[in-house]
Amino acid sequence: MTMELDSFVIQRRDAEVKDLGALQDNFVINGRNYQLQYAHLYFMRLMLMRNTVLAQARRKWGSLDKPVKEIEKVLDVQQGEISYLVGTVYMEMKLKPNILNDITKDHWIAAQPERPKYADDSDSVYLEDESGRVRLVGPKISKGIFVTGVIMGVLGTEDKNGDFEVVDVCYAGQGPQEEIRSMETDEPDKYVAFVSGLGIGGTHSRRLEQDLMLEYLTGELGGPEEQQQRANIVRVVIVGNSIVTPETNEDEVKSGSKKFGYDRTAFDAQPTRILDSVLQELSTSVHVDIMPGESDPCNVTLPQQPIHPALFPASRQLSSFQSVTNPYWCNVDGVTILSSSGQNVDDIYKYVKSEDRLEMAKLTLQWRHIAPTAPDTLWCYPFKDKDPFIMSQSPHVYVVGNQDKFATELVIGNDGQRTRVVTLPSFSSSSTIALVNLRTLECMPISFSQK
Amino acid sequence: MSTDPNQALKRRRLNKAGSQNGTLESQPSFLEDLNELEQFSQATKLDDPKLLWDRPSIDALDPAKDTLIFQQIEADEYTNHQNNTPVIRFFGVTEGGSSVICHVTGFLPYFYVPAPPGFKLENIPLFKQALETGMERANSIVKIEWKLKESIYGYHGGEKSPFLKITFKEPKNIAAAKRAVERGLSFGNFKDYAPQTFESNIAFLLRFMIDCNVKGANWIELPAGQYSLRHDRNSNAQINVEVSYDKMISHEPEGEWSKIAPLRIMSFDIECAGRKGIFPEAKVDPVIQIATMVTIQGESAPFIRNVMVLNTCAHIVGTHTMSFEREEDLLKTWSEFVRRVDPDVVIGYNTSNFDFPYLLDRARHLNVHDFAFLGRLNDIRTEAKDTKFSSKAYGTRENKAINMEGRLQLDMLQVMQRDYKLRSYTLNAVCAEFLGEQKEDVHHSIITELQNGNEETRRRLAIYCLKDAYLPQRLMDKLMCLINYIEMARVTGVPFNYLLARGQQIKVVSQLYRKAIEKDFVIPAVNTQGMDEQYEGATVIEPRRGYYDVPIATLDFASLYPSIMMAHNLCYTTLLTREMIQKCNLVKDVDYVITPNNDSFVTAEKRKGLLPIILEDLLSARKRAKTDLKKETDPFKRAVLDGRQLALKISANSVYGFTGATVGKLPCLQISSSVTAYGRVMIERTKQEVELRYTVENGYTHTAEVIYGDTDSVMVKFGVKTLEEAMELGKEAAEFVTTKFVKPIKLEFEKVYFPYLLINKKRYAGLYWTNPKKYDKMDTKGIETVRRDNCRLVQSVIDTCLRKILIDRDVVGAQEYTKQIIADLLQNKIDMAQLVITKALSKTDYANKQAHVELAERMRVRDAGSAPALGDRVAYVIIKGSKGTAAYDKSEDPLYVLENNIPIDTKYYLDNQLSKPLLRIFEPILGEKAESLLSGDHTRTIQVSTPSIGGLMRFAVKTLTCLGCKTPLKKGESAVCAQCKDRAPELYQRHLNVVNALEVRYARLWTQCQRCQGSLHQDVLCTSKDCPIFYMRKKVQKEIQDSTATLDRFVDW
Repeated sequence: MTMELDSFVIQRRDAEVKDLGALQDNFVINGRNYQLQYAHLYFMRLMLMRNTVLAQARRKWGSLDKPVKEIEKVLDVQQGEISYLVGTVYMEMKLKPNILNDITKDHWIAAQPERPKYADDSDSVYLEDESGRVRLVGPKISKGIFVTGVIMGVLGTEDKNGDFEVVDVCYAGQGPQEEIRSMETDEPDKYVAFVSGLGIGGTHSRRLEQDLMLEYLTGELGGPEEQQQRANIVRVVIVGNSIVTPETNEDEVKSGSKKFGYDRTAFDAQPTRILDSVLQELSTSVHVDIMPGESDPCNVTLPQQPIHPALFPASRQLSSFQSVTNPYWCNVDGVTILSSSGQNVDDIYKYVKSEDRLEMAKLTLQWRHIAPTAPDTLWCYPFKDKDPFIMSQSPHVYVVGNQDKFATELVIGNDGQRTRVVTLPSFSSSSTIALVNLRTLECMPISFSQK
Repeated sequence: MSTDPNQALKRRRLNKAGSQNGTLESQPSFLEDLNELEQFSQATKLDDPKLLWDRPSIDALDPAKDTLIFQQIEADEYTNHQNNTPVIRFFGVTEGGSSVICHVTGFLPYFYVPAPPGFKLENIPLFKQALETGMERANSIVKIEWKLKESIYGYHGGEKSPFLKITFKEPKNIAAAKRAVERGLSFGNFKDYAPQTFESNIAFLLRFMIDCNVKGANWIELPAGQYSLRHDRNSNAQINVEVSYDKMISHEPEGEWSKIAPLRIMSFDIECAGRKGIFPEAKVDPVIQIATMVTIQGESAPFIRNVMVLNTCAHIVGTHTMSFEREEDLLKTWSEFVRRVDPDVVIGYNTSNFDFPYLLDRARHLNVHDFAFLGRLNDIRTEAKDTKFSSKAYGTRENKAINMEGRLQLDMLQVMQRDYKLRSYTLNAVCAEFLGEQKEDVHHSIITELQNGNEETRRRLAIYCLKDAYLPQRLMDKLMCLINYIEMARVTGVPFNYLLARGQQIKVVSQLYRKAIEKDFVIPAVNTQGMDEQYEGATVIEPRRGYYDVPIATLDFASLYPSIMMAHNLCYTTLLTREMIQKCNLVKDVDYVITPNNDSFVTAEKRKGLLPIILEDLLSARKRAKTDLKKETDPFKRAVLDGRQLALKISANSVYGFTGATVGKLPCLQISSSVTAYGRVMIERTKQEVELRYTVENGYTHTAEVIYGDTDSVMVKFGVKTLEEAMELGKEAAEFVTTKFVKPIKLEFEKVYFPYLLINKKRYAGLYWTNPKKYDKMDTKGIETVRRDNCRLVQSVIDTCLRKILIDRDVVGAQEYTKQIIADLLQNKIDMAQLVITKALSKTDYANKQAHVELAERMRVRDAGSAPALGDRVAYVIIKGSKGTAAYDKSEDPLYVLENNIPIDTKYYLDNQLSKPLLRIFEPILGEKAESLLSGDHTRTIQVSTPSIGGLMRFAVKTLTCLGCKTPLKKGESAVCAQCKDRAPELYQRHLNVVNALEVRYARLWTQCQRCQGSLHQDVLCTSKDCPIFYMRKKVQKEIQDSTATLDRFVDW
C-alpha cells in the first residue's frame, strides 16, 4: 500500500482494529433452522431489554412527588391505578400489507399496490408482553412515533374501556459507550470513508463520478498535499447496494414465445465483475469492508450475511479486503462504528407519518435497537436465543446508507455518550460519500461531479 | 355514575391542545396530566362486574293505572291445573328493557266438521254425547255451534254449507276428537258418520295467534284496568301479568309498531378438555371454560364480557375473569349468570348440537342439580331432545332441540346451513366469507395442554374462547339475521322459533288460515301420504351454446309464479271439477278457464281466489316496504325495512311450492302443475313474439334471435353491437310482450349480458349491465364450483378464466393463464392449500370405501393422537400411487405429504378436477381446439418430488450431483463439476434467488400468523386447515430448509 510519486512516499496511515466479539459475531448465522417461529425473537428482545427500560422508567418516574406503582405484567394493570409498565409495542395498521390479502385475491385482483407509506389515522398502538396486550391511548400516543417491536415503558392508567391512557413514555435510551482514546496531538486526524449505493449494473450507475471517487480514495487525485490528506483515510466501508441484481423471472415471456421453466441466459455476470475490479483497485490502497444491501447478490433477510467471496475472485486475494455482514459493527482506533445498509430505516419510514429519516435513525438509537420492525415487517432470520439487533453498546459512529439525502447530527446521550448519526444517500443518486473524523467525530459529505 | 368521566377527559384534552402545540413535553405539564388522570381514575374505580348482570330495576306496576306494552318474542301454552283450562303464555320485553311474562286465559281450542245432511240444531246434544263417547273423555267438549262456512278446497258455486264448530276444554282433546270422528260416529238416525275434519291439524298456539291476530314478535298492549298482576314464583320475570284473550290489543307490526325492543342477546362458547384422538365425551371430559358476551340489540359492543375458567386464569383486560377450583361451581355459576342476565336471545355456533347438550350432560353427570334451569320458568328444566327435520327446501337434518322457555335461540351454524350455500361451515370458513378475516383455530389436543399449563396458558385459551363467543354475535350483526328473522315472523305471522325449527310450509299455512278466517272459509285437515305423482317442471328453451361478443338482452318475468297465480286466479277456492261446471252451467272462458294443464278454475269475476289475494297483499306490502326503504335514512330502520321486503318476497314465492308439496298440509297439484304449465307457455310465447317482431323485414337492423330461455327469463340476441341499442330494444320488447299477457304478469327488461358465455342449460356466465356506463358484476350460473369434493384450485382457475374472458375480454389471456396453471401444477408449483379436498368424517362405517375414511384410519395407525376423530373434517390430497392403486387409497394427509416430499398425483388433478370445468367454459369459445389447453408444450416440463420415505428410497444411496448438469460429483466438488465451474456464479445466483424468495415468504407467512393470533411473544399454535396459508407456511419451512442446504453447498468455486 505504498505509492510512489517523484521519490516522495506517502504512507497510508495505519489504524488499530479491535474485535468486538459477540456484538458483531451475533450477526453471523451458522446452520440455519427454520423450524423456529418469531415468538422467540420477541421474547428474547423483551427479556434482554426489559430491565434496561425499567431502570430508565424508575429514573424518570420513580421520584415524582406522587407515588406511582411499577407493574410487572401488562395484564396486572388495574383500572384507575396510576402505574408504569414495560412491554413490546405492536402497531395495528389497516394498511399494513397482509399476505392473506395478496394470496386470496390471487391472480385476479392485483395485489395491494405498494405504497410509500402504510400509516393511517386509524392505526392503534398496543403494548404487549408475554402475558397479554393493552391498547395505548392519549395525546402522547397519537402524536408520537411508534413502530412495532420497540421495547417501551409507559406511565398512565387503564380507563373504562380497558385501554391504557398514557401520559408519558420512555425508552431504553443509548447504551453505554467506551471513551475514545485521545490521540497524540501532533498527529493528523484519521478518517473512515463511507460509500453506499454504487448501483453498478443499474440504470443510474455513475461511471465517471465513480472513477473520480476511486481516484480520490486511492490518492490518485490532486497534488501531494491532498494526497497526504487522503492517506489519513484509514478505512473505506461500502454500505450496501453496490450492484443492482437484475430480476431473473422464471417463466418469462420472451419475444412472443413462452418459455416454461428456468432460463439460464437471463443471468448477467457483468456487474459483479465490475464491482470486483473496483474493490480490487480500492483494496490495493486502503482497507475495504463491503457490506451487502438489499440489491446485492446476497440473502435478503436481515442480518445479511457477507457476500460470497467467490464472487470477488480478484479482491479476495488481498488481505485488506473484507466481505462483512449488514448491519456491521467494527472498532477502528477505539471508535465503535455501526453501519446499516438502510433497510432498517427504510422499513420504519413506511410505517410512520414522519418524513425525517435522520430522526428515525436517532430514534433507533433511543430505542437501543437497530431494527425494531424486524420481524413484523422487516424480514429477518428467526433467532432463537438472542436478538443481535439490540445496540448493547452505543456506537460512536452510526451510518445508515442508501437514504434520500445526506444529514447528520451528533447525538449526546443521558450519560454523555456521543454518537455521530449519519444518513448517507446512495452514490448512484447523489455522487456523495461521507468522511468521519475519528477524533472529533465530525462528518463531512464529499460529492464528485464531472465538471 | 352521574357524569361520564370519558366526556370530562375529552374536554380537558381539547382545552389543552392549543397551549401545548409544538412544545416539548416538560415535567410540569406532564404532572398536571397525572393529577387529572388521578381524579379521573378515582371515578372509574372498578365496580363489581356482577352488578351489570341483572336487568335494570323498575317501579312496581299498577294495573289499574298503567298500560303495559311489550314486544312478545316467544309464546307457549300450558294447562292451568286448577281448572284444567289452557293458558297461552307470552314472554316479552318492554321498551324500557324489562322482562314480561303474560298469561292469556280464556281462549279454547276448536275445529269444524261438516254437518251431515239432514242435521238439525236439536241433534247437537246427541252428537256431543257420541263424540265424547268416541273420544272416551266425558265433559271434554265445551260447546258445539252451528256455523255456515265454505270449504276452501274447490269451487262450490259460492254457497255456504252448515258446519259444526266444536269447542274443547283442552288442546289435547283435539287429536282424540279428530280420531273419533274419522273412525265414524253413530247418533240418532246418523250411522257411521265419518266426515273429513276441518282445521283440526293446526297447533293450538298458532290457532290462538291467528284468531287473535297476533303476529310473530309483534307488540302487545294491555290497557290499564284490563289485566291483573300475578304473584307466583314460577318465573323471575320482572313483570308477571294475566289477561283475558279478548282484552289484549295486538298491534300490527306497521309504522311505529315495527320497532324492536332492547333485547338482551347472549353469545357464548365453551371449551372442554378432550383426550387425544377422542371427541370430547360429557361423561369423562370436563368443561374448562365458558366465555359469554351479552349485547343489547342495536348496540355495537357487548356490555358484559366474561369468561369462567376452571383453575386460575390471568387477568384479561376489559374482561371479567372468574376462576373456579371445582367444575361444579363453574357450571353452577354460569347457570346462575344466565338466569340473572336473563337473555332474550341466546346465540352461539353449533350450540344446539354441541355446547348445550354437552353442558347439560356434564351437569347431570356431576350432579349440579340446578344447572338445567336455564329458561325463564323456575320449574322447567332445559333438555336436549333429538329431532329430525325434513324439508324439501333444506333437506333432512338431525338436530338436538334445546328448550329454553322464554328465550329465543339462534344457533348461527343452523342459520348458515339454512340460508347460505358454502363450501365449508366451520366458524373459520364462515368468518372468512362474511367478516373477511381468518380465525385462529386451536386444535382440541392443544386445548387440554393449555388448560394443564399455568394461569398464562389458560388465559391464552380464555382469549381464544372469548373470540369464539363474540364471533356469532358479529356474524349475526353483519348478516342482520335477527332482524330478518323477526320480520319474517311478523310477515308470515308464525312464532319466531318456528322459523328455524320448521320448514317453509307452516308460514304459508299461517297466512292461509288468517285469510280464510277473514273470508269465512274453513280448511280441511288432509291426511297426506307421500304421493309420488310428479309434475312437469319449468321449461327450458334449448340453448344455442357459444360465446357471444355482442350484447344479449335478458327479459325477466317479475315474480313469475305469483303473477301467474294472480293473473289466472289459481287457488283452492277456484278449482273446478267437471261436475261442478255442469252443475252450475259455467261457460268456458267467461266463467272459467282451462289451464294448459287441462285443469279448470273459475275466473276472478266469478270469485276471487284466496291465494291471489294473499299474494297481492304480500307483493303490495313489498312494494310499500321498498318505497319506504328508499326514503328512510336511519340505518336501523332501513335494516328492518330491507328485512321485511326480503321476507315478503320469499313468502310470496313459497306459496306456489306449498301447493305442490305432496307431503304437505294441503297439496293441490292442479294448482302447481297449472302454474308451471302457464310458465312454459309464456316462455315459448315470448320467444315467438320477439322473433316475429324484431326482424329485418319489419325494419329493424337485425333479426333477433332468442338464444336461451329458462323458468322466468329469456335471453335475446338483438344483433345490435352497442349496449345502448340493446337496452333500448330490450325495454321496448319487454313492454310489447307484456301487452300479450294477462295482468299482472309483466315482462321486465332488467339487464344485458355482454359478453355472454352460454355453456349449457342452466350454465352460463356473463358480464351484467344495467346501465351502459359501468357493468354491475360478473354473473355466473351453474358454474360455481362450490362443491366440496373440488379442490380450491378449480374454483380459482375457473373464476380467473371467466374474469379474463368476460371482463378483460382477453380470451387469449385466459388460455395463457390456464396453460400457466397447468404448467405450474405439473411442475409442482401450486400451493398445497389449493389442492386440498376436505370431507367430514361423519360416521365410521361407510358402505363403500372412501378416501377420507381410509385416510383417517391410516392416520390413526400412524398416530392416534393427531388422527381425525368422528365429526372432524378430514383434509387430504391425492398422491401418486403405483399402477392400479384404488383412488381411495391415494388420499394422504397434506402435512404428511409436505414432510415426506410425497409426490402429488398431478395427473389426477388435471384429469379429474380441472379438465372438465375448463373444457366446459372453453368449448363454446374454441370448439374442438379447447382440448389443446390440456396438452402441448406447457405440459412437457414435469417436476416430481423425490419422496423421502417408502418404496425404493430405502435402497437408494444419496449421491450429490452437479447443480448445473446433474452428473455425480467427484471428491472435493461440493456444488458443481469441473465442466460447470464457469457457470458457478450463475447457478449460485439462481439458487440464491430461490432462497431469497422463500425467506421473504417464510417471514411474511409466519409474521402474519403471529399478528393474527394477537400475541408476539407466544408461539403460533393455530391449526386452521381452512386458512389459505396453513399449508403454505408448513411447506415453506420445509422448502427453505432444503434450499438453504443446497445453497450452502457453494462453499467455494
